[in-house]
Amino acid sequence: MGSAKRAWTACVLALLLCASGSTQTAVQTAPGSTEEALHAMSRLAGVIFAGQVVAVRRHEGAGGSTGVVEIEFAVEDAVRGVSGGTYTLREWAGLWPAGEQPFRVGKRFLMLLHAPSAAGLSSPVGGMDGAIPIRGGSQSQDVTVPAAALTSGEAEGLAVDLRWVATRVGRAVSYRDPEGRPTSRSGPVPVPTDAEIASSATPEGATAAPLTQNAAYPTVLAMLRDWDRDDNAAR
Amino acid sequence: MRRVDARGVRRGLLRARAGLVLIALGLSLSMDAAWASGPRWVTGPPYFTGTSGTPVVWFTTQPLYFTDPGDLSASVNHAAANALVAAAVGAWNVRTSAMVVAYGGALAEHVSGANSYLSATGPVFPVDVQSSNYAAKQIAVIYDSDGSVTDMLLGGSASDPAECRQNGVTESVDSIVPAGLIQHAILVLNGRCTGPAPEQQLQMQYQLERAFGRVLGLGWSQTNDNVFTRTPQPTVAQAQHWPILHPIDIVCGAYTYQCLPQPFTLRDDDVAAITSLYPYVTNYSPSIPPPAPGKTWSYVQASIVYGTLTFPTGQGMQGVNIVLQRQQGGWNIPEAWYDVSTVTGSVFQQNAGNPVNGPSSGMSGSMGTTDLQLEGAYTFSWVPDIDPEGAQNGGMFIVLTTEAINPLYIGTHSVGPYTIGNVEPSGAPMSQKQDTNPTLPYWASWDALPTAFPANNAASNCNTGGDGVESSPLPVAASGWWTDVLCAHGHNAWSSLAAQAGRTATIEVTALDETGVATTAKAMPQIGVWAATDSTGTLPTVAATPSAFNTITLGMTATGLATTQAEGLRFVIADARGDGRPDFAYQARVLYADTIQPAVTSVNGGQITITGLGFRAGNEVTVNGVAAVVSSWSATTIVAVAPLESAFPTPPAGPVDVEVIDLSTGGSTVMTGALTYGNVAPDEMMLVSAPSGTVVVGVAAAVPFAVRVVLGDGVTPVAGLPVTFSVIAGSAQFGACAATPCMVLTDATGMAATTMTATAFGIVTVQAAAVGAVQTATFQAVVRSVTVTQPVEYIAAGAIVEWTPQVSVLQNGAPAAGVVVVWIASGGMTVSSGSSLVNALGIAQVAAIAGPLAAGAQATGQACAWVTVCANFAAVGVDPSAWRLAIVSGAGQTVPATATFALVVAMVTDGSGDPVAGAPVAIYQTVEAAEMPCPVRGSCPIAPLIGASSSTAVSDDDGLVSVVPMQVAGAGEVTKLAVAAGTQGFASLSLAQQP
Repeated sequence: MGSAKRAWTACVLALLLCASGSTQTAVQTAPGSTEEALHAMSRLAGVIFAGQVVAVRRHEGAGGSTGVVEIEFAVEDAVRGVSGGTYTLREWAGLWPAGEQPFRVGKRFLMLLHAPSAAGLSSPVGGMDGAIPIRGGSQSQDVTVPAAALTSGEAEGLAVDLRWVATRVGRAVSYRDPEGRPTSRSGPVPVPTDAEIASSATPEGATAAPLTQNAAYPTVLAMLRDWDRDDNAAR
Repeated sequence: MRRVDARGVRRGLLRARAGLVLIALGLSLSMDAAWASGPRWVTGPPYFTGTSGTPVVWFTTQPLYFTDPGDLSASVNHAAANALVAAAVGAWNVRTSAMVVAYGGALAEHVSGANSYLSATGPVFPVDVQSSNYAAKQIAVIYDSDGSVTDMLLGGSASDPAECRQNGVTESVDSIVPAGLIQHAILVLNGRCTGPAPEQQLQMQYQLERAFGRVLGLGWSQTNDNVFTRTPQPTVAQAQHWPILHPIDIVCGAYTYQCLPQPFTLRDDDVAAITSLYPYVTNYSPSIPPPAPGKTWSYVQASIVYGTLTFPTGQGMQGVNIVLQRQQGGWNIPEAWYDVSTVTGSVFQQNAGNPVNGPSSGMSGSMGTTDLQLEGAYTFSWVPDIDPEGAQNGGMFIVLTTEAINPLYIGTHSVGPYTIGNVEPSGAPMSQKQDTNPTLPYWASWDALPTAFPANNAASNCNTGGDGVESSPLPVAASGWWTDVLCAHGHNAWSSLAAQAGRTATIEVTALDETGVATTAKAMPQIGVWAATDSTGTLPTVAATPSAFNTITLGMTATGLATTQAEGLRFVIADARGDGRPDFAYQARVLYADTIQPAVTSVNGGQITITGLGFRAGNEVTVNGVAAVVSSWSATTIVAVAPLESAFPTPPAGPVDVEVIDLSTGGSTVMTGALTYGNVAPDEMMLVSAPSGTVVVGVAAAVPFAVRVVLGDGVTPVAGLPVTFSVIAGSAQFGACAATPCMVLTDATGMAATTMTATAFGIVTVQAAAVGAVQTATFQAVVRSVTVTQPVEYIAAGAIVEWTPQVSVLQNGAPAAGVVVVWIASGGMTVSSGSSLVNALGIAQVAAIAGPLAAGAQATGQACAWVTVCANFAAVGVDPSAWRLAIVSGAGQTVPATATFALVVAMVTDGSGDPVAGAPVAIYQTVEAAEMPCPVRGSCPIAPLIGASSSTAVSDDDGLVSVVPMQVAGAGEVTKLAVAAGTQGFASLSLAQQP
C-alpha cells in the first residue's frame, strides 16, 4: 500500500513537473540584445523574406465577413517559406479598422511572418515589429515596371531599421525617488528588482548587442539565413 | 511661497451665474480639439459626413460587452475569465467620464476555429459576434481557449505563447460609420497566454486594459516619455504618470505589467482622454445632482487649456507634443512630472493627399479637418485641479512645454496626426508658465484658459515664388539645381523640363532642415512626372515615387524617367502627407544630359562636350560603358575625352550611349545612341618641344616637353583636353605633377607642356598621349661631376704664389677623359690657360697665380666642364700672426761620420692646420763639436762651435720648406736647426753625427 502511495505521489509530482515545464515554455522571456530579439522573432516566423511592396489591395467585408488586406511584395531575398518572385500577404482587415495603410507601395521591408493559417491569413511576428523597414536603395521608378531583384551592390547600400525590434530587448527597470535615490519598488504592484530580471534582461545603458539599430542589410540577411539553417538542423 | 487666491473670482462668478440655473444644461461645450492625449481617430472629409475635426467615439456611452460562454483555458475558467475582463474594463469606468462599459451577458456560443471561418472576403464569425449585431451586442469578447481564432486571424503560430506580448489580446474596431461613430468591436483573448502562474493572467489583464482603451477610441499618448527612453532616469512619480496608453511597452522581463508601478490604475492623462471623449458636461452648480450614481460632472475639478503654436508666418505648427505640469495654488514650483499632454493639430488633416498618390480617400485618408485655424491648435481638454473648488491654496497654475514626438511613435504606435512620419518641431523647444491667470473649473466656455506660444526662432520662409502650378509649371532652374520650400499646407511645386528623344534623366529631391542639412524628419518628398500634354488632375504617367526616401542618400527621394521622343515634361514635388510648412525646405536637382559635341568622333576617340543640367564635380562619364576621362565640370557642361573605339569589348555597330553618373547619389542620365565612332579625321597632337640629347640628372631640362592638340583640320586648337605625360623608360619627374603619369590640360592654344628632370642616368623615354595620338621623346640622362682636389689655397698675406689647381671630372662615375675644362679666375688670381683637357685619370689642371692678398682676402676661380657642371676654388690670404711651423720630417737624425743628414722639411700652416704657401721662413743652424766627457774634477769642457749659418726660404704651394742641415764631415758633431715664420711660427731640432 505504501509503495503504491509513493508511486502515486511520484506520478503526481512528475505530472506537476511536466506542467511546470510547460508553464516555463509559455513564459515569454525578454531577449538580451537586438540580435537575440530578432532571432527569437525569426524562430516564430514561418515566412521570412526581404521585398518591396508593389501593391496593396483592400477587400471590404461582406455578408458578415470582416475584410482582407492583400499586400503584394516583390521578393528580393527569400530566407524561409518563400522561393522568390512575388509573395502576397493576406491580413485580416480588422487589424486596420480605419483603413490605415501600414504598407505603402515602394517601401522595402524585411518581413518575418507567421506561417499562413489554414484559412490563408497571416501577420508579421510581433505585430508591425516583424515588418522591419529597410532604408535606402533605389526602387522601381517607372510606375509600370515592378522591382527587380537586388544586386549585391544594391544590397550593400541598404540598412535594416531595427529600432522597433530593439524595443523588445529586456531592460532593467528602476525608478528613482524625487531625491534622486533609485528605488525599485513602488505602489501595489512591485517593479522587479534588477536581480530578479538579471537573467533575462540587458542592464540599462548596456551596449552588448552586436547589431546596431541600423544594421547593414547583408549582415542581417546572413544572420537570418544562418539561424534558419541552424534551426532546421536542430529540428 | 506666494499664494494666489483666485477662488474669490470663482465665487463671484458663481454668484453671477446663480440665475442661470439649468439653462446651462443646454450649453454646448463645443471646444474644438477638446481632448487630451488624443483620439485614435478624427473625422474629416470625404469619408466622414458629420462635423470635421471631432473624435470618432462610440455611438453610445453605455456599450455592453458580451463574453464568450466557454472557458479561457484549462487554468482560467469562464467565471475567472469574466472577472479578468471586468477588472480590465473597470479601469476605464472613471467617475469623470460618461463612458460606462458594462457586462451585457454571454455570447451565444463559444467562438473557435470550429464556428469561425475565412470567406472570400475575410473572416466570418458567428452571427451575434458580427458588427451587424452592434445594436444588441457592441463588444464581443472571445475566449480563444485553444488559440485557433488567433491563429486563423493572424497566422499559423500567432497564438504561440512566445507571442503573448503581441497576440495575447487582439482588438479590432470593426464598425466605424461615416457619422464618426464606433458601433462594434471584437476582442480576442488568447487562452494559450494564460496558465497556472497568476502573473500570466495579470499580464493579460494589463494588455486587455490597454486594448479596451483603444477600443473606446483613445489614441496613444506621450507623457513623461523618459520612462520609456530611460533618459533621464525616471522618477517613481513620473512612472506613475506615464500613461497606460503609452505607445510601446517597456520590456523588463517576462511580464511587461511589472515594468511600471500601478499598472492597473489609469493615469491623469488616461482619465483626461476618456473624459474628453465622453464627458459629463453641464453649467455646474453645487445644487445640481451628480449625473449618475458613482459619477461626477467632468469639470467640477478640472480645467480646459487651449492655444495655438505657430510659425512666425502665422501658420500653425502641427505635430508638436505639448506636456503640462501643474503648479498647486500657493506654490511657486510645478510638479516634477508631466500630468497630461496633447499634440498640436491633432484634429487637423493628417493626409491631404498629393498629385503623386492622388487625393486622399477612404477612412484613413479622411482623418482631420481642413480648417487651417486648427493646424497648430492644441487643447488640454481635461486638466485635473490639484485642489477641489474652494480650497484655500488658491488657483492652480500650469507650465506648458513643447517637445518632439519620439520618432518611434509612428504607424501602429503613432502619437498625434503625423502617422506615417513625425516632423521635428521647428525652432527651439519652448516652455511657458501660466502664472498670471490660474486655471478654473470648466463650467462655461469662458472658463477655458487661453494660452499661446509666441512665434520663436522657427522657420519663417514660406516664399515659394519659384514654383509653378500644375497647369503652368515653371521651367527648372538653368543649372538644374535649386532650393525651395513646400509651404503652406497642401502646397505642391510644379516644374517643367524639355527633353530630347532617347534620353533618361534623374530627378532628386532632398529634404532639408532649418540648417540646410538633409533630414528625414521634415518634408517627405515625393515626385511625379507627366508628359506636358497629359491632362491635369491625373496620376503620374511617366514616373513616380510611391513613397518618400527611396534612395541610399539621407533625406533624398529620386525618380528616373526616360523619353522615346522629344517631349515636354511636367513634374511635381509634394509631401507624402500633402503637407506644407515653412520648415519643409528641400533641394532639387534634375540630372539631365541634353546634347553632345561633337556627335561624331574618330576611332581614336576625342574630346566631347556634354551639355545639360544638374552636373557637378566628380560626375563620371561613360561612353558605351567605358569610362571617359573628364577634364572639367560645371553645372551645365562636362568636358571629357571619349575613349578609343578599341577600348570597347566589341566594335559598336552604331551610335553608342553616353552616360553621366553621380556616384554619390546613384543618379544618372543617358543620351542613347548619341555618339558615333566614324571615319573622321582624328584630333592631332603635334610635338612642340622635348628634351633631347643629354640631360643632367637632377637638373631641369632646359627644354620643356610640350605638345599641341588641334582638331582634325590641323588648325583649330583643342582647349581643356587632358594630355597624359608618362615616363616610358628610364627615370624622370614631371614638373607639372608630383607623380607620373601626369595629366595636363591643354590651354587656349591647345598647348600642354611640362618641364622635366631626370632622376637617374640612362636613356629616358617620355610620352605625351591624348585622343589616341602619342608623342614621345628620348634623351640621355647623365650624372656628371666636377670636383676640386683642393678647394682653397691658403697663401701668406702679401705673397704671390703659383700653384696648380686640379679638378676630378667624372661622368656616370667614370673619368671623363678628353672633356674640356674651362678655367676662369678673378680678384687676385690668374690662370695660365683658359682651358685644359681631362686626362685618362679624370684629372684636369691649370697653373694659377694668386696674390698678393691681404690677410683674409680671397681670390676665386672656377672650373667648368660641359659648360654647366662647375666647381669653384679660391686663394685666401693668411696673416703672419696666424702662421705656424711644424717639422714634417728629418727631425731626430743620428748618423755615423760617414753618412749625410737627410733634408729637414717643415710646414707652414695657419691656426687650423691648413698649409700656407708663399710664407718666408728664416732658418738658423749651428754646428758644435761632439761633447767630450767631463773630468773627475772641475767643470765640463764646452763643446767648441764648429760652424753657423742663417738663411731664408719660402713655403711652396703645399706650405713646405726644405732645409739642408749643416754637416762637418768626419767629426763628431751636433747640428742645431731652428726655423721661424711670421710672428708666431717657430720650430727647432738637433741632429747628431757620431765621431
